[in-house]
Amino acid sequence: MENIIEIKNLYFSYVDTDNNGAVLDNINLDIKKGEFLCIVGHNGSGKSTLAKMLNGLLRPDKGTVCVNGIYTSDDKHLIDIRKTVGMVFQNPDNQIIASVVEEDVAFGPENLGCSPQESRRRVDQALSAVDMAEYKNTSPYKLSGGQKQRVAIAGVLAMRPQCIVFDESTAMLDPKGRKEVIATVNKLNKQGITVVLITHFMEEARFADRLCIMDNGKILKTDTPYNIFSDYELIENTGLTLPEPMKLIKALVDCGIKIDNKVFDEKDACAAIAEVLKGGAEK
Amino acid sequence: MLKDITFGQYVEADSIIHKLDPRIKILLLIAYIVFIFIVNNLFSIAFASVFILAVTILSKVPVKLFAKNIKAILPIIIFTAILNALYVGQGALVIHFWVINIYEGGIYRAVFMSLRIILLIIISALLTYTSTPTALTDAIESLLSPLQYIGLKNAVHIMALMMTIALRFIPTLIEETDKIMSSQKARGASLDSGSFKQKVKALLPVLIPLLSASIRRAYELADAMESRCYNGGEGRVRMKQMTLTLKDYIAIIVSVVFFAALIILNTFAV
Repeated sequence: MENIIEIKNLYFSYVDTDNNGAVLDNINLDIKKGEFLCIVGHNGSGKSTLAKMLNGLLRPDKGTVCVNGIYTSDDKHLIDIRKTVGMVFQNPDNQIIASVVEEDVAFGPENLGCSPQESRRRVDQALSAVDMAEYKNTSPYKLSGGQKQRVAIAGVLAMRPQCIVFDESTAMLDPKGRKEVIATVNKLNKQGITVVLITHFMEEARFADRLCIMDNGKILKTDTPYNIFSDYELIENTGLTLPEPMKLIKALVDCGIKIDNKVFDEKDACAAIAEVLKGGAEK
Repeated sequence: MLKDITFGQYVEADSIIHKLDPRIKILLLIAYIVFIFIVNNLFSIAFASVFILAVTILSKVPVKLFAKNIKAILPIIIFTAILNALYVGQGALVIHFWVINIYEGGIYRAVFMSLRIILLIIISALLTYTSTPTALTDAIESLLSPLQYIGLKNAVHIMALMMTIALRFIPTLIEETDKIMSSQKARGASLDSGSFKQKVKALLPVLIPLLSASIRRAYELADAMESRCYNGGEGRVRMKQMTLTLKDYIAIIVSVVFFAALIILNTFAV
């Protein structure tokens, strides 16, 4: 599969170029077109900094980030990069610009110089893609957190990006809002948009095609959620918590029970446990 | 409690005045103010009062709202009226009491000035009651746009964007102030007792977190705007283009006829 973003030997520090304060330390990562990549790490692991690298909000100190063949260090093509890679941030309140939903969604197309008719078309499409069409004349401050975040997603969608980066976009939401946003993310990915989801909720990571574990500015492992969830040592070392079904299986493994630990959700866990129980009955 | 504050004075109603292009409303407001100042006899100002009263009724904004506006500046109206009554010494002497002499011309003048101030208040309130803050912002941007030809293109765009963002963040900041006040109260701050000086001092622990949070917000907003391809005003095309409709032309024609009638009355009425 073709890569949409290629990161090579990326090094970055907020302070200076000494090797001490590295926030990102020799990152190598390829993001494939159409995939759902999840980046997980605890606070301060450098995952949000990495996100800002993807659309040129931050530039590498050393190494390169390349989006569809354009380097983010190239000032002249920054707009092209941002048109390709959209970004949804953590706090919905701090990314909505206008006092009316549809005018906020129009901000992107307006910046791109779309004609009023084209902007209107994109706004209507983007709002219906996130199921917010009926709120187009509402004030954003009257919406719930999940709804605001969906408006923010619509604002990015209206630019027609190929890839959307979600930088902890669910962290400030209640469970209901989180569910709405994750459902929207999954839907967009199915429509062919490359998704990079940055989170510290392992629950959300299980929908991903690939899971990337970050710690201390380094990528420790990139693999399928299956393989990562069963790598207990890695999970423990990075201070992450497993989703509930995997926790149960891990507890069983810790008790010395031989069980298939490549489980994914409640259903898999049930099947694995049933397998063990059946085996016991036969013996 | 702070949440209930409404910003702007917009009153939702389905009237022809509400539907007028806000640019036309602003320009007409200026014209009305100029003409109300031009006319100088009681007869014309009475005619203007009747006309503006009709427009007010047409706007479907509750009359008591206008009454509230007038009440707010009632002291000024009374003060002006008394001053005029005392100092204009034309016509027959009407009242003579100790050192006070009030002439016919004085009374005439007092009524005229009061009416003029009341009309100015009503006509200005009519604009803010019938247009949303967003519409007014857009209108101001559009009206200022000729400035771009004298090299101020970015200034107009930046001002409009600043107004838009300010309007957008008013409810957010009010909510935040509320939260900070509650959390400072929970820590034992007494925000509404003590002398004026103590009250001002007590506000510091509210204002400082509010300011630092706003700066953080500003940084995040800047990132979000850049991510959405914001690149200054260059090449930006607004989705909502304001266009004049039949209603706007009718409003202009009616107003011009009114102005003409006013001038004629003002010149020939004795």
